[in-house]
Amino acid sequence: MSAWLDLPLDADTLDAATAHYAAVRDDRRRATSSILVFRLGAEWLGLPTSSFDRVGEPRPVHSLPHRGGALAAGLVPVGGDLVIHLSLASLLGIAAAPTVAAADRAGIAMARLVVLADAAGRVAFTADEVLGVHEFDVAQLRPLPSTLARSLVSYTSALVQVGAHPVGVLDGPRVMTAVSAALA
Amino acid sequence: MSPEVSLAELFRTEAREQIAKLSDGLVSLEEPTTPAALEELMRAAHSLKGAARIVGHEQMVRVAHELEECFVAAQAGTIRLTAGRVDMLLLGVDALTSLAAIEPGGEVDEAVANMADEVVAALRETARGAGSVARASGRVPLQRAVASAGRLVPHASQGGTDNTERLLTLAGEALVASRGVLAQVGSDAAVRRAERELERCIGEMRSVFAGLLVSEEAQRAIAAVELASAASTQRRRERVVAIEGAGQRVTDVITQLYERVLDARMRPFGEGVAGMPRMLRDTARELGRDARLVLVGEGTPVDREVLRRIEAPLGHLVRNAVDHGIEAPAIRAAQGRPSSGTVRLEARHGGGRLLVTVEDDGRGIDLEAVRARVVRRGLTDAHAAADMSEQELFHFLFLPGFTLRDEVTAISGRGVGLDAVQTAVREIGGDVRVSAPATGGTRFELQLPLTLSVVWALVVEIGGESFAIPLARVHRVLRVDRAEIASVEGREHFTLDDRPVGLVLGHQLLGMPARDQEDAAAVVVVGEPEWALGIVVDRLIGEQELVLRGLDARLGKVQDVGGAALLADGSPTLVLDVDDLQRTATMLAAGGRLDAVGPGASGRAAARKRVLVVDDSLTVRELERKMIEGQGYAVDVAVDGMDAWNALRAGAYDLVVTDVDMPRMDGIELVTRIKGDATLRAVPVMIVSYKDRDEDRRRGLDAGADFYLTKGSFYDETMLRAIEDFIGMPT
Repeated sequence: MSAWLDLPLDADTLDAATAHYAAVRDDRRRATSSILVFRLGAEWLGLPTSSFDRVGEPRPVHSLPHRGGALAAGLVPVGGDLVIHLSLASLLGIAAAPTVAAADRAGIAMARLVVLADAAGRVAFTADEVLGVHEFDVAQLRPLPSTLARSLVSYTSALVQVGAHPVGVLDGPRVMTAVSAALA
Repeated sequence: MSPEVSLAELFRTEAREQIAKLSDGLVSLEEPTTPAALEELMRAAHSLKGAARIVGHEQMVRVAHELEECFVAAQAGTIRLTAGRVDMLLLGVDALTSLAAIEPGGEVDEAVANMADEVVAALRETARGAGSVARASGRVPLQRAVASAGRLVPHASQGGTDNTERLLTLAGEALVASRGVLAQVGSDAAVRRAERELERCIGEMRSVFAGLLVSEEAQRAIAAVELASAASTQRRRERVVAIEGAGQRVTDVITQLYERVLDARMRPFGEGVAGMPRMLRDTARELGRDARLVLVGEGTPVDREVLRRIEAPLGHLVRNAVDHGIEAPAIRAAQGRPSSGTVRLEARHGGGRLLVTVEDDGRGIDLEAVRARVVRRGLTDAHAAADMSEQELFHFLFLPGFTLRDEVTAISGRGVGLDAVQTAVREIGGDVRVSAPATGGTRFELQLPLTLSVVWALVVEIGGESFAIPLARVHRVLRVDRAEIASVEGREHFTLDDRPVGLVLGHQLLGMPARDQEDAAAVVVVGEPEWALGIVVDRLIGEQELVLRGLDARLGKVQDVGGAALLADGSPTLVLDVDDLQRTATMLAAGGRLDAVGPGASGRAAARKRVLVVDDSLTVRELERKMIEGQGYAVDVAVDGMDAWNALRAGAYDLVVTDVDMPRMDGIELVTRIKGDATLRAVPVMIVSYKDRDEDRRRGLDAGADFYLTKGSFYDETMLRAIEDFIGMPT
């Protein structure tokens, strides 16, 4: 055993190891951020993973009387609690998806219930589709194009490319503050 | 958790216990004091001193020490524990309460430290036998110092509350989920159908084969299929039975868990009224009376929330009993009654309710004084008052501003008493009654729900969603044929027990979408006999026991809704607030916005295009309404911009016609709001105004109005043509 450990290394292995340890560490690579990527209507959006609580199957939402306005506020059961459900699309000023978009090519329902949380409490919305959590290097963030919907600009901090989709990265706290303000 | 932290917690618990002993012991101290009572007080002070020393709480050690010295002096007979000295000792206990909240060894506020020094000095004098009367005036500033020190000290939060709440919701959800499993197991109709179909197919095969000459091999094969099918059915049934049994056991356990969690919310009654003996004593001392509190049924379990909500009303009734009931000791003695009065506070369960009584042995309510006051206040005339029974007169005691006192004292006489008690008690679904026991005195009885967290409710469907109405507020449930519905001035009603009951469409009341109505409307009659309201619902679902949850505070008060709950099938529902519904119905009727329920009403109203007419002038409003309705549109009216905004948010409109100058919210702001709202933006708005200058017109259009019309021209066809241009024909 010890004889094997004491064997001299061949030149290639030595070179590879030397190159590996001598490489300058790219510190920027460590500045990553992760978002939950989802779709509302035609828009792909991302929210910092720190601001979401859970993602689940869509559940029956009970609407609130006299609150049938744009937000369509209602209640949805989440783990034994009744959580406020609202239309995030309306809040962000995104055109609602046609109902057929709830089913994808294979006819499987893609809609998911997304629950956000902050110190003020939890709030849920139904996304037309959830892609999953995406981790990216903050260096990949791109500035917002001037073509972005005006209403979205105030909630979006940057764009990031996830696969084929440019994703608008939402400012979590700003969205939650707008939610609280819109509910009252 | 570090040992220091748990030590501090242990100390706080012990301090609470010993302070309660000191407080209770002092309040119930009788003269002459018994050695046993003093012994107990000394022990409490001594234990507290020892505990405070262990955690290094210097101020508490000193105050507890001086208290102990006082008790020692009393035991030795050097001082007598007069009422004045007991006052001082209680002040020392208050100081201990404030100090106990300070983290041992932590930073002590200067004001708090000074207060402790002064209390120590005053107690030292008391132990030396300082006269209580001479010190009484000096005690007031000290009292203030102790009270304000209490406010300076951060109070430890009531831990565990949220956890119990959370446990309750989780246990509730688990219960619902486990019942769901059982329901799934029970509903295997589809599987059974498939099995029967398989059996039928095999039978058919057999009969087909019977007419043919088939090989023995085929015969055997079909027999094998038959056998396998039967075995599969049998095995499945066994599995179902096994799963059902397991499911039932799970449900049983969860039901027990749920009930235990519900129980955990119950607290002994005594815990909620622990401060009452002291409060009674302070009130009695202040008014120069002598009174004791007798507590009965301290162990009666009461829902924590109920306990919290009745604390203030009970405190009020107890203070009232001393102030209005118990006479001065001299008067009582002169009548040959014990100079010390008794206030009896009792809690017990009865008839599924919690009954709390507050009874005093004082002078009782002077019926003639009430009668005179009722007449003087102009509530009725002398003749009618003379005929009123005791119970009828007692009702007046609960009127706001009603008092038998001419002078206002710090305790009562302002007439803000009993009505506040009644309001607080009614808010939690209880009631309060007053009576005069044959033995004299006054007796208040509070009937309260055992718990606020569970409610029996009638679940109905309105506008395609479920709503629950507390059974306590449901007067009657019935089907009303549309032919039986009469209409008076646009308000519909039907007759129930010879009384007209107003009818309102549930979906309209709640601003929900309309559903097709059947010929016989399902009507839930809610409220009191004096103002019964018939709510037309889409469907009755049934009675259910619901665990109430509050709505998220961020929503604020949602009109007509009292709370939320999960139904047995796990779907959410809203519990309606019946008093709110009554108000909403009145407002709807006043605004002329009630839709018809009666014959021929269904369908037509829903299909017509809806126009909202907004004007503060009744004449203009009605003129416009008649013109537009004359064209076949459905028209609702609103009296100002605010009213219109609420109507718009609650219902769907195709067009808004509005005036500009209106109170509360003018037309310009209304237009601005509509055009700034994502869903309402598309609704065309037409301004009809007397203002015909160009700048007025521009102001309206700049705000986003789609059309501007001056009032001079709306009598002609212009307005109707414009409406048709915007939204087309009425249907």
